[in-house]
Amino acid sequence: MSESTSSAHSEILRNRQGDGAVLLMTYRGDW
Amino acid sequence: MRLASVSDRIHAAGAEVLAVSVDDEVRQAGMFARWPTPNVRYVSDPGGERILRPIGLFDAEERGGIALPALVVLDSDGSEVYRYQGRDFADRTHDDDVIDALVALDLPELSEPPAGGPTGVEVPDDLDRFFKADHLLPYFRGNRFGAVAIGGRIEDRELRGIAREHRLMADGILEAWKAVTSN
Repeated sequence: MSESTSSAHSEILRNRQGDGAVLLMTYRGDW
Repeated sequence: MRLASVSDRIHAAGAEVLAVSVDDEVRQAGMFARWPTPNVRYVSDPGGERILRPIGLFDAEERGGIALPALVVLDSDGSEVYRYQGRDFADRTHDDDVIDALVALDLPELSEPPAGGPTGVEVPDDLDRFFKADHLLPYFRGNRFGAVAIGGRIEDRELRGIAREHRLMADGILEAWKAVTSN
């Protein structure tokens, strides 16, 4: 895994509230 | 919306939902206020620099750069254990596949549902160009009947299957909306 991917995963975990798993949904945006 | 309708199952599997787009925090706060997704945390990633590009879910060509629609499961240590990337914005995986991936992690249930957000962000009254909750039913009913009509005109089995998939997607959203708004 690249350093940037690892950094992104850390960023995702930083945004969770607990210490469990994360279901990440990416979406195109509100319009 | 479909994820919100199965939030109990997601939390029981020890997971919380994060929704990432390039929208700014104000637009996401408006979305959070407008939609019945009380446990979803919306995360803003303008330009996709922090999350979307590094994990390969960024379409630089469309609308100046937006997220590619996908569902990804990260275990509690941040390792990716599941990914479904939709072919387009209407293509989402079956909920059971995602729940199965979460259950397989064998994590304890969340002690309490996560608080969604962002909160505490002022949303201006003149925020425009957003999808209104009132439009969801006619929008997806229209999708459904369009898919039924097109499916009826197609003879090719594979293409008919695509029309059927689209109808089932619309049915799923309509069912989820009914479940979420009846609570």
